[in-house]
Amino acid sequence: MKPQDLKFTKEHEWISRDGTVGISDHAQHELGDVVFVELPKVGVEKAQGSELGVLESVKSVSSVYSPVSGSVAKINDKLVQTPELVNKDPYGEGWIAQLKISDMQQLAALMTYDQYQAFVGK
Amino acid sequence: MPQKTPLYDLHLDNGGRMVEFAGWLMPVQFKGIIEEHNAVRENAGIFDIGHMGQIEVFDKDALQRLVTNDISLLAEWMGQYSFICNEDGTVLDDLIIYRLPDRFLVISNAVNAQNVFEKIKNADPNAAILYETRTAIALQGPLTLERFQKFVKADLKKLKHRQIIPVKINGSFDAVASRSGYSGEDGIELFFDKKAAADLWRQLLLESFEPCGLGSRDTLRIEAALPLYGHEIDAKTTPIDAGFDRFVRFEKGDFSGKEALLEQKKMGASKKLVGFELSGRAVPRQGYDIYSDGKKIGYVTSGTFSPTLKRSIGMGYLFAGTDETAGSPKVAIRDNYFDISFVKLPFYRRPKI
Repeated sequence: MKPQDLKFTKEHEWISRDGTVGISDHAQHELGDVVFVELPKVGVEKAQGSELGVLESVKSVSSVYSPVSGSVAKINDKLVQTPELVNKDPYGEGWIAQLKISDMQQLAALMTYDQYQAFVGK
Repeated sequence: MPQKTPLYDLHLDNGGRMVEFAGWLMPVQFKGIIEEHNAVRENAGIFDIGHMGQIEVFDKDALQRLVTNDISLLAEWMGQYSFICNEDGTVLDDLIIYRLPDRFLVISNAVNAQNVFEKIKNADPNAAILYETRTAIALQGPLTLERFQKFVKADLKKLKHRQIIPVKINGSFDAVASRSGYSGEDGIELFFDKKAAADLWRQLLLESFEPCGLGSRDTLRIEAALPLYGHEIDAKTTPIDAGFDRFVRFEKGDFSGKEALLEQKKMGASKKLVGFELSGRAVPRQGYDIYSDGKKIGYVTSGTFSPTLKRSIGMGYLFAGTDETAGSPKVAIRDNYFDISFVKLPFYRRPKI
């Protein structure tokens, strides 16, 4: 996915129009080598800002928050065996989960790629 | 204001991600923790250890009364591992003590350097801490000797473990070099004049030494089960708790903490240091609890995903009287319990050549 087509949160998640969620390239870089991903369960309802998953890097642990409200439609099972995909391809194969978005207005209110780049000081 | 080692600017130029550690701005990583870790296990890496305390001590008897190991057993140009304890037997710091012809060189953890120095200075007014003039670099990994040999005349292969020798690097400046380290690999630690640090670091990079940060220093030492102050040892833990009785020489005479440690030796330790592996990839971290059959039996002091073994490993303390062979032990990570199995330490031992 092209990051220019995505929306971003202040907690460094991205979300596409079809509800796919991941973390930004900036976030994966800050986190360092990801060694474990705790994924949500399919079917679970997530409120905007609630914990969607957990990423463990060698050095630290950090939560992934749901950029919008919705139910978990799909999870990226590949991350169980190959968590390093989050580092290698944060906007592609390193996606974390897909949400069925319940309120498209929440999506619209998130930052564009340019706004996010400015937010992280790039 | 955090302090900077003489390599600070160079680390920034080389893409080092700087973090504050024990009052120092240090690189946590350059290319990545796992890549740096593997470079040290397979080839050779370099670490800036300019944050560590270098303390010169001149009064042998004074030092002997402070530390737990017996420095009278230490030959000239050799080093030994020791503790310096508080009067209650808890650890003030762990040290490497080198015996030079006219003095001792005591290497302490950055976080404790000032406290250790004050305690030593009280006993030996001539003692000095060398941050103003000296720094240190650690070269670690199986190819260290081969790659570093061209810098010095002395035959590095002949150095014994923890032997230290005076060397002239590139024929231009003096250093002391010891065969030692904190990674579980063969290696050399160099102690020398701050002014020569940046040039030497650049030359080591040209010899294919991988620049490594504190992140891989931690994963390497965990695999080798080397204790870290603030984790396995601290001001609530004695060397006896940590299972390091062999570095406590009761027969040598009086030393700081002796009475308390003797008492504990009689009564038994309050906890026991263990190593464990996890069934999943989740990472056990300091402070997480260890349970068995629903009862808390201990806690985690260090943990990581082991890049060498490719599984999660940890060290921790079990409370005295715990039977680690009984029940089904688990570590609590967030809301989940992961099965663990206790294993013999270290997790990793370098292949003998």
